[in-house]
Amino acid sequence: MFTHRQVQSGINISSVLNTTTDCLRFVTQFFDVINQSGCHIYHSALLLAPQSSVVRNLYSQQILSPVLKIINGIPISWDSCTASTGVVSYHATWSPCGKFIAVYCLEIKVMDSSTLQVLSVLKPSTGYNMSRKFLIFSPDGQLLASIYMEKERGRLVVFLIYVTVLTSVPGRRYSSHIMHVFDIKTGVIVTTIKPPIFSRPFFSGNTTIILPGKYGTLYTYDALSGTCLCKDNLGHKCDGYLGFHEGSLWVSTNFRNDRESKVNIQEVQLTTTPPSLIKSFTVPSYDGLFSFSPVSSHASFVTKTKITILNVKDSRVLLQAKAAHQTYTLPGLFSSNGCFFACATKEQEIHVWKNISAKYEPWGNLQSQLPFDGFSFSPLMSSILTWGYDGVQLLELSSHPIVPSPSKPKWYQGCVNYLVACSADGAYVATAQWGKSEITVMDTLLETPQQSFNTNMQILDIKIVGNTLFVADGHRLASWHLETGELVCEDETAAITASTPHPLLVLSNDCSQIGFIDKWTIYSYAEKIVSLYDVQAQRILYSYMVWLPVVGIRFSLDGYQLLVLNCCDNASLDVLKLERGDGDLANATNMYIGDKCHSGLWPWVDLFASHGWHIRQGVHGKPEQVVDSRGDTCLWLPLSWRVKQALHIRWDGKFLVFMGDSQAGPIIIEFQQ
Amino acid sequence: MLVLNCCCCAHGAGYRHGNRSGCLRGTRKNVLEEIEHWAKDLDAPPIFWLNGLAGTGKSTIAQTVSERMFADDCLGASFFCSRVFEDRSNLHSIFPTLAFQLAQKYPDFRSSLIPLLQSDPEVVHESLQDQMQKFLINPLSSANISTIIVIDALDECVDKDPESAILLVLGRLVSEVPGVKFFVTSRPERHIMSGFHGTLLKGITNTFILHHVEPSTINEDIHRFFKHKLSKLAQQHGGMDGWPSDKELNLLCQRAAGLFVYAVATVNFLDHHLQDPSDQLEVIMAFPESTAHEGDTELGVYTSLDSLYMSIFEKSFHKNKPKDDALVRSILSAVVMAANPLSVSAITTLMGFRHTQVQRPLELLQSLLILPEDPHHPIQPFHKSFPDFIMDSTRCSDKRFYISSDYHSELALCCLELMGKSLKKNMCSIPNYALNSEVKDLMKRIEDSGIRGALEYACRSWHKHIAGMNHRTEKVISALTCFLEEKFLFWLEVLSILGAVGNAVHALNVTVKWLTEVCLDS
Repeated sequence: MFTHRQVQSGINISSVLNTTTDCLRFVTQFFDVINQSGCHIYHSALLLAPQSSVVRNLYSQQILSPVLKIINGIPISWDSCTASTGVVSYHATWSPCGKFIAVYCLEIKVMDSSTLQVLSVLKPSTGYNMSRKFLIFSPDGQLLASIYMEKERGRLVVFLIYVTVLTSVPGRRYSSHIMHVFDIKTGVIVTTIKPPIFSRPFFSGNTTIILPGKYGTLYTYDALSGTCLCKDNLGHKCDGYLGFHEGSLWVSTNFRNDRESKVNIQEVQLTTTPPSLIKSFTVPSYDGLFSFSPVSSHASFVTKTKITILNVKDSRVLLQAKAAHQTYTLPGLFSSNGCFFACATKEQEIHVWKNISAKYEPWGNLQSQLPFDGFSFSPLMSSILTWGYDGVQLLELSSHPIVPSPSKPKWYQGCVNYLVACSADGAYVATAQWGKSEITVMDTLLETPQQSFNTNMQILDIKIVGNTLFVADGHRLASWHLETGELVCEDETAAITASTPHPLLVLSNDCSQIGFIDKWTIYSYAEKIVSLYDVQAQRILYSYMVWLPVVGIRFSLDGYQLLVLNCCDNASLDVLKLERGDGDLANATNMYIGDKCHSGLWPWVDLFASHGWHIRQGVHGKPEQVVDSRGDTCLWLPLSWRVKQALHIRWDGKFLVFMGDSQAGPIIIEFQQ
Repeated sequence: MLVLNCCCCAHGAGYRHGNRSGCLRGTRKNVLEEIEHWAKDLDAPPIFWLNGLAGTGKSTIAQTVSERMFADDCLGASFFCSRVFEDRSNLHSIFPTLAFQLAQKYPDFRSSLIPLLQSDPEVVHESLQDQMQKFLINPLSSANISTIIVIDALDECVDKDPESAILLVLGRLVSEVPGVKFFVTSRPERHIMSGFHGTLLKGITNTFILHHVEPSTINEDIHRFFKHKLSKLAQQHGGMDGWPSDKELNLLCQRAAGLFVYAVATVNFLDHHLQDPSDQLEVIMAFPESTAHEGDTELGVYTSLDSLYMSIFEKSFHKNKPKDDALVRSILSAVVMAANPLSVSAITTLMGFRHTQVQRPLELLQSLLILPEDPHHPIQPFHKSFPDFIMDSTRCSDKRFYISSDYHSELALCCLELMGKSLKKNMCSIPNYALNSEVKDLMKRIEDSGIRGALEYACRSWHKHIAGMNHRTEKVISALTCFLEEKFLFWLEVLSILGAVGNAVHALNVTVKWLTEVCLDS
């Protein structure tokens, strides 16, 4: 029986509810970790759970991490992401009941909307392609229509990361568009249609699909037989299809009269042949992308900096909002019940407004964990689904206004190119952008405000030795006292600059030597020279020629090896043995490291040299597991960490430092040897 | 094959499991002959649908058909659906289970299936259409096998679609394997009817409607059944010449009203090793027929059955004190409300009773239950009409035995308390950092840890009883609080090694919903 708590009266339901909700967040956040390993509940999930998590605080005694310790950076609280999975997704949609989502990746995956576990896989008959796709359920949830546009021939097709999939762009003619209609229960392809146009389809009934074309043409198909029931024409060119509800289609046409631009918005009855105009409204033209409420006559216009919502019936403006510092990227989206309106920003936030008595009040901003290309509200308005190249995620849409989150910390900006240095006790962390001159130092123990200063150098590497910060560029090596901020000394490094103005350069851990690569161009097969420079002797001790593309060099922890990471199809590592004292280098030995540290990991991974630790990659080569020299997975990162917190990762001595946008600062993990 | 067996097959779904008996020799002649003729006729349609109302003996016929076909070496595989088992009511278990059995029987089938499983382990997650194509159609056609596959009680699978999903797939693909025939039984439920009457299956299905058979033919069969079984009973007991009388036999047949389930339940009741069968028969005869459904034609058909059940209860527990009745109800609630059938030992552990306290009332009701000798094997109702009866207040007229939905709170409490008492950290002694898939003897560790049985049931199913509660119960809330605060992580760990973390999300979602909608509102 339970150890210390017996049946009590007057239990606070809100408190139990709060605990249960926190438990749920714990499971969904770390689902893939827990699913694959029971013991990583204690090694990873509990260790990485936010500081304010009820589960973390209740079970903190159970954390089991004999070989690592998190010194800094545990998130303060749960973010809005309740579940995520790293499948590439071109489009995704909710089933009308809200229990499932269908995700279009290479095939169509039907997932449980709570866990994002794949329940079944539907396979379009023609297989793989990488172009635009749409998915839509029939109103009764029995059928799922998918349409894709095959890539154009003769063109280089790249991943369409920022495809504006929500835009109801009128159809275009391409060589091949294929629409499949699946029976969702059996996975049977009920019918395959080759429509003459590509556009976002609408189900106008449980078995009727409408494809709107650009020149006012509407194709109506029977979803069960694939027969084209009719091809109607609205009688004029239209610029956009705003929405479909209650048997009517709302379309817009921009025009310009003598004085100003206007938009003509028409409600078109589809049940007549040809379609007939019900009403027409002329409203002032606003720049930007349209969207339309499915249940009312509210329309939105979104530009990069401004959102306008108006009632098209009387042109009354219901919302005018300006972006403070962000840039809006996608058209706005109304929820299916018309209660919410949301807009995405370039900074991967979703701004939400609530319709309260025909006025749109700010509801809050949701911070996305994954970059996304599109989003949609769940049918029950409890969450928002996003999709994109990095995966799909569910963001919780609170029933209460969302508490504003603090702005992103300074180290977030441009941190892909960040350099990180950590003091031996993890107390000081210095960060700088590669090639820039500003450096930031923070004291993680005292949580003192970070200090920034200008070095007047083009920083190529930084290190902390004791309480001294070393900064190197191609010309000199300078050092500052961390506590006083005073410049300690400057050494010229003329031998380095003689050959290349900006070499790829690394400092040894004691800053007595500098390794650098001459004529450096990443992923080039041109010859390169790896050299070792002695600071005290002010001369190059050794040079070594490599023919493979080099993606990084590092000194080993003990300073007796210089490691050169090559990347071809499989990565390999040249290990240069450094014999201290006489300054000579032994011959290099080549070590194949294969999938342990694939080239795809760059720039995510540095080698934790000489102790055999490495990071195992997950989806898209993003770091997933920290593995020790015996091959044991010591730490398993949840997907949101892999993408969001791991914008830059660096081993520094016995520390692994994650540079992300965590409000708690850089995440510093100390490894025991 | 091991992967297939462990991951996605429904265990005990084949005809050889489950203590089912076949038809008594000499009964069901017409229907069995027609099925036999269909099976042997090369030009016959590939599908045979045996359609019959509850209690008309479909499963017994399916069992007989399976046994006979197995003897003739033409049975490929069988799947007896059952709503009391989660895996046997899951449509997605059917094709993998059939494939597993076919692979055991036909080496050519096995050699086609194994490369598929090795190259595409995700096939178990695919749609029904792809499952059937890959698990059955491709290996069957490449091995050119002629065989018969039996699917019993299709209506017991969870399928709320207007048209049966499995029939839709069957209709589309059956023509690709001309040598293979499917024998399907079900109740005439709407989604199954529309599946068989749809364009895909209409022309290729032989249908036999069991409840349209001449009443005189069925009565004859039931009469023969009674006569055979009761004579045998009389022989066993000795000194019972002339028992039962023709009058008694006719009355029993009249009460059976064409339902074989009545006949089986009656014989089970009379066949009690400690009781004299003639005394038992008198109990049944003396008990008036229920009039609860007078005028209700749909339910009226079961009045004699309800009356039989009531008389069995009356006879078994007439000496009970009120507190004993409460005990019986608790135990029966665990039998009929469990999300998956529980064994005597699991009920004992879960509910905190002594073994004899559980065993005795179940033995008294053994005519209504499949009560295995091994206390670790699950108990099942002998027929689904029994839980329907005992959980329906309009049918179970004696409130001493009626199991209301309130018993969900008792079961939820038992589950939470058992988890509170038994769950510990790392119960399977998994080494640090190991992935579940890396632990080669994980199954053995689970067996040795004591998780199986009552604790596994509690871990997997406590939330299903929370979902059945429509009122706030302080005891449950308190136990839930303790569970979340002290055992939550250990529970997650058990679900992880059982491969059921999805259950955790559903359980917590259900709990949040219950706390919000039931507890906060009240």
